Amino acid sequence: MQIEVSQSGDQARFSLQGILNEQGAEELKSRFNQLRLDSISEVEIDCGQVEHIGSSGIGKLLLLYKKLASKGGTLKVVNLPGPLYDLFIELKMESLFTVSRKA
Amino acid sequence: MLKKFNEIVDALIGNLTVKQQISAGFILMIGLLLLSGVASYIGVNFVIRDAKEMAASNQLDAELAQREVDHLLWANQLAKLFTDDSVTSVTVETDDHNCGLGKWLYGDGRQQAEELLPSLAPYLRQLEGPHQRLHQSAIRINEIASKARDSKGDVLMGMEQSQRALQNARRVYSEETLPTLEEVQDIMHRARDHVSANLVNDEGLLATAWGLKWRVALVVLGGAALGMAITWPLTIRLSRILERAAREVGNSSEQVASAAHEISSSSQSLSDTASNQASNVEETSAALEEISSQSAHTVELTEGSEKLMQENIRKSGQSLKALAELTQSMTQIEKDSDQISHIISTIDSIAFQTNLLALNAAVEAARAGEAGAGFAVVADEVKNLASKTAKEANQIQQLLDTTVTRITSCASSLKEINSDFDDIVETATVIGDKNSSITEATNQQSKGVQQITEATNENSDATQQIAAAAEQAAAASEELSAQSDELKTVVTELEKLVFGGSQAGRAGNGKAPGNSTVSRMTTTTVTTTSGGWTTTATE
Repeated sequence: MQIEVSQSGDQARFSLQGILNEQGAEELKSRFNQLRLDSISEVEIDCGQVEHIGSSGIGKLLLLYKKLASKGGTLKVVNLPGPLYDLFIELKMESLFTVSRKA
Repeated sequence: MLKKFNEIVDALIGNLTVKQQISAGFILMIGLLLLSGVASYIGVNFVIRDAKEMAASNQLDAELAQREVDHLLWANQLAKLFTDDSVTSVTVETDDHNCGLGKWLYGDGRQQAEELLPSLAPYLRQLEGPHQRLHQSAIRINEIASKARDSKGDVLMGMEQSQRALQNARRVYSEETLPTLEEVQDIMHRARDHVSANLVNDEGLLATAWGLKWRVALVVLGGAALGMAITWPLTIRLSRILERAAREVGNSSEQVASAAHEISSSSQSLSDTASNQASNVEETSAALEEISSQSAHTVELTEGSEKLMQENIRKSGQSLKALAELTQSMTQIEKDSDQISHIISTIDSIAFQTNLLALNAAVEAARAGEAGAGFAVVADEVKNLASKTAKEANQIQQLLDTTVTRITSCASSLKEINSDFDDIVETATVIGDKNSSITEATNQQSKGVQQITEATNENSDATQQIAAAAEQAAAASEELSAQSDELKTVVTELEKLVFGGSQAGRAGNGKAPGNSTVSRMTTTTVTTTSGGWTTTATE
């Protein structure tokens, strides 16, 4: 699992690549914890190169969403491949944060 | 010396195979036979040549002798002219080319004689002159005799002339014919001697035959000696090879018999093992079916738990959303509480100032006297309101403090809930992943069990094939044992061939034919039944 993080102003962007399994989820959580959420109002996660997301990965996204939402911030999960996008829709993730399919 | 010779032969033919050695021996013997035959053939040809030459020599000698005899007879016939009154004329051949010798001398006979013996030509050329003179003497005698015959007709002179003519003729005969005849005979004698000296005679032919005899004997003896010298080591070598082969084949036949016995025992053991294995395979198959069923059930359970996990995530998401909103609202409430407290403080301050104003108004109303009596009442009411307001503000502040304390407590509880819920969500989702892994592993396990089941079924087939192979091995061992007996018979015959009848059986392994372990016959029969394998063995 490869994670690249960039920050611009109050926006942070995560580019994920590989398989987001249990181990990758722990790594992602570690990178989330490094964020200073007080100064960030929007986090965008690019999943264009992600092959698989397990339930632990989704759990980490939910926790990030909750932390952001508690402080009025927003979360965007973009460029989801078709099957993952369908999974997110089935889990009603679009009701929590912005979800977009990979073009 | 024989040993050294054997070493030399070994070095020459040691690398050849037995077949090559036997072939070489046969070729050598055939070569010697051909050499002997060629020598005999050449010798016989010499004898034939000499015989032909001797026959030609004898014929030539006879021819010359006959011609000599012919001229002796010819001379006698000519002499009758003087001895026999009835003969009045020459009746012999007067032409030297038409007499027997003349025909031979000027015909093919002389040519053949000169071809046979070219050195005879000078003698024959030397013979031509005297022979011609001999016949010319006859012609002269004939002429004289004719005159004598003609003179007989004259009565007075005829007799005398006739007598004189006969005397002349007799003189010619004695002075010319006979000497010439002797000369001819002498030449012919010398010619015959020359023929006898230069052509093969009986002794020469006999010498040639003896020479042939000795040469053939020499070739035969030499060939026999050479053949013995070469074939004897070859025979020794072949005998040793056959001896070793007989010994090794004998040992091999015993080993084959022993192996056949061992194969039979192994077949028995294999059959027993196959039977036990078949039973184990059946038990394993039943256990695998149970495991497969449990695996399928586990897969169903894990698939259901995955659906539950998805539902859990959905609800967790919604709960998180609500919790986030609650947290946000709680934060807002905390902010609002501070503001309310500030408002209450302001109200309290206003009430305090109003109370001061009411006191001031009361003081001023008192100072105004009667005119300020109404104003004093108002001021008192204002004071009461201010006191009441301050009291109410104080109560509100107390309530607010209590509320804030409770809100703070709720916020703290909410934080704990948040933390716990975070842990719950995180743990639940991790469990979901682990559950997925368990599902995948269970699927793999189910596939593995399926493969094991298939392998077990194949193992069952293999076990049956092993049982069949054991049966075939038993039959093969029986056949092998029979072949070993046949091989033993062959070994016995080979030993007789190599060592002779009296030593057969003592040679090689020292065991008498048939007195070996081959005589034991083992038969194993394996039959397959529906419930397993039944094995019987007979020795």
